[in-house]
Amino acid sequence: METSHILRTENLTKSFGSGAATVRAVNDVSLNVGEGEIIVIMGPSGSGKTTLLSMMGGLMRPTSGAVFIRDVDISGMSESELPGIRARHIGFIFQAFNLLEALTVEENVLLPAQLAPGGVKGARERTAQLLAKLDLTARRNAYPRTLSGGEKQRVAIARALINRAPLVLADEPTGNLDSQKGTEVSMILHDVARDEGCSVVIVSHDPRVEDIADRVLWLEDGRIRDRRSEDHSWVRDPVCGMRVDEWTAVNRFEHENRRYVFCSRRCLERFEESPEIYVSAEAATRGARGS
Amino acid sequence: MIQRWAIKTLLRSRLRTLGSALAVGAAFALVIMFRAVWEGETEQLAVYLERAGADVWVMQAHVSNMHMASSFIAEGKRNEVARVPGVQSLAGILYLNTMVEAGDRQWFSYVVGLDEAGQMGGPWSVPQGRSHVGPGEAVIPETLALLTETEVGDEIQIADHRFTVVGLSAETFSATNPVTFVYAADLADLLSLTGYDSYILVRSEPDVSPGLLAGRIREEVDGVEALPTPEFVENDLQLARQMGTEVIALMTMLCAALATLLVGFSLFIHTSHNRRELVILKTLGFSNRHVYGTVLSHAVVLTGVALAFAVSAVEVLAIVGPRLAPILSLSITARALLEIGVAGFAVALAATLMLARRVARVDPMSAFNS
Repeated sequence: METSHILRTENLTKSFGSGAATVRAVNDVSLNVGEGEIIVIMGPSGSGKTTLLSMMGGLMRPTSGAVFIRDVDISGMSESELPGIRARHIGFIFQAFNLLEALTVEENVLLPAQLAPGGVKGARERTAQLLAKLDLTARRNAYPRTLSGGEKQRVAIARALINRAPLVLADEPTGNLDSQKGTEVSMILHDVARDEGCSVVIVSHDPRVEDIADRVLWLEDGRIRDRRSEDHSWVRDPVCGMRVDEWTAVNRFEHENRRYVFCSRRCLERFEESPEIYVSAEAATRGARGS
Repeated sequence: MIQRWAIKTLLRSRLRTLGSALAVGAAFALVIMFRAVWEGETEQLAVYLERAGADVWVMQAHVSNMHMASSFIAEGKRNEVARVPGVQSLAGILYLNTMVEAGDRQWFSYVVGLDEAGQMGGPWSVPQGRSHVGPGEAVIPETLALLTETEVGDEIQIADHRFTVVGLSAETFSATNPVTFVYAADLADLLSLTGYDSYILVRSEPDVSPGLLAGRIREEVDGVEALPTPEFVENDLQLARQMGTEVIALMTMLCAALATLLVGFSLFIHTSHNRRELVILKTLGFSNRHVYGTVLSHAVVLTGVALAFAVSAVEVLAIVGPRLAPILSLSITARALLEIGVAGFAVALAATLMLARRVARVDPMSAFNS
């Protein structure tokens, strides 16, 4: 049976700089994303994950190679054509949520519908459904500044889905959330792919996201590589106790000559506020284990 | 929805928006005020001609107005004009544009010499004193009296002649040309000229149109020009407007340029402050055209608020101003408001264009920067 691909990249390469100073952020990456498939792209900081995601989303032009969305090559499209592709075919979810502060939850979700054939009017019912599904109905008239991180990310997910985009690109969607909210958002993304039938590409450091992936790809030095299990170095987040890959974690903090890593920026911030609480709690846990 | 975002974003920074609108409004208010003063002065210039009571004005040949003009016609022409069919009554006035010294101040003034009590061309409203002037007497505008602290019974001086103020007239003051009424023989003496009128004011028979009568006078009386009052008034207004057009245009351009810079600067601050949100809009699929639209909305709202502020401020000044400063004659015309409105929206468009390059360079890729 022939697999239907929503997204396809062929020998995708992106170089920055010139001459001897040329850096290949993404190097000859070819991959396919099938309908309804969830792909998680992991890799150390600076491995080219976000650059790859940007090219997939038509936000950055590749140096060479091509990106196909439903077999249409978007890498050669003009600047005036790309916004239309993004509006109709791609939903974006960001680490920083990127909601518009002046608009309510409902208005944020409805905003991209202006670019869809049915317009804002035609999308009101779907907005209500999405808000209900993501447990945001009671917050529909709230402004982003009054929302928690988890709520903001759920609004961003609803916004990414409003135009029934076949492809959702998520950049560190759990990066600014604590352990519980991060898991919740991961599960929502999983359910979204299942219920909406859309493909989801997630770039993340968060090992919790691996649990929902159909495939996990490892990007290193701009190339997709096989990832061996020994590439993990699991440690505990001292704030929430979650398992974190020390090798890939981006949220790090040095305290009393010791390095701590965190599952999210939120946990890091909590630790920075009063590290002694968590250090002593961790020491107590270690002591209990030792005895 | 994107326009709703544009407006709500603007309203979110109320203080900044209001501050910008006030600054731009002040620039517009300056233009409107300048024009209002100019229009007011210009209109006031013609009030005497309109209220003098004549249907037709007769003057020296090749003269067609009164403002800054000299006209002398021999007194004998009065009888010739009186014989023209359709003339009901007439009166001659002497006229001089000169300095009047009242109190310790000097004003450039129309000085009108009158022959007899109650004749055409005299003051039509005299709240204090009397309207009739005899030898050595004068009626001056009440506003001029107020400004120079002159009262009925005080003396004023015109050239080397002194006159006693016997009345204060209403509606005869403008900053550039108040009207002072004196006895005709005194003015003739001052001019060292006897047997002449400057203008003959003619009232037509009820069934004869002023235009027709003016034509007959031109045909039947040699060496004179005759014009119906509306045409005569228009000639004066045109002359005054011509003198002010270039100044007004220059002032409007300067203020419009200032307003454009202010709106542009405000938009620059606004787009810088909301750059992140412009990035998000572009990432979501909104094109440069959509984003320009939001900037234009900002500019239009800002300019609209500024115009509303400017018009309101000037309307208030038009009521309060003359009370606080009697020297001011203000006139806010619909045409002036329409012109400033059009200029305002040109300003909004120009300011938006100033930002076009900056908006176009907003990179949606930066949405990934947390």
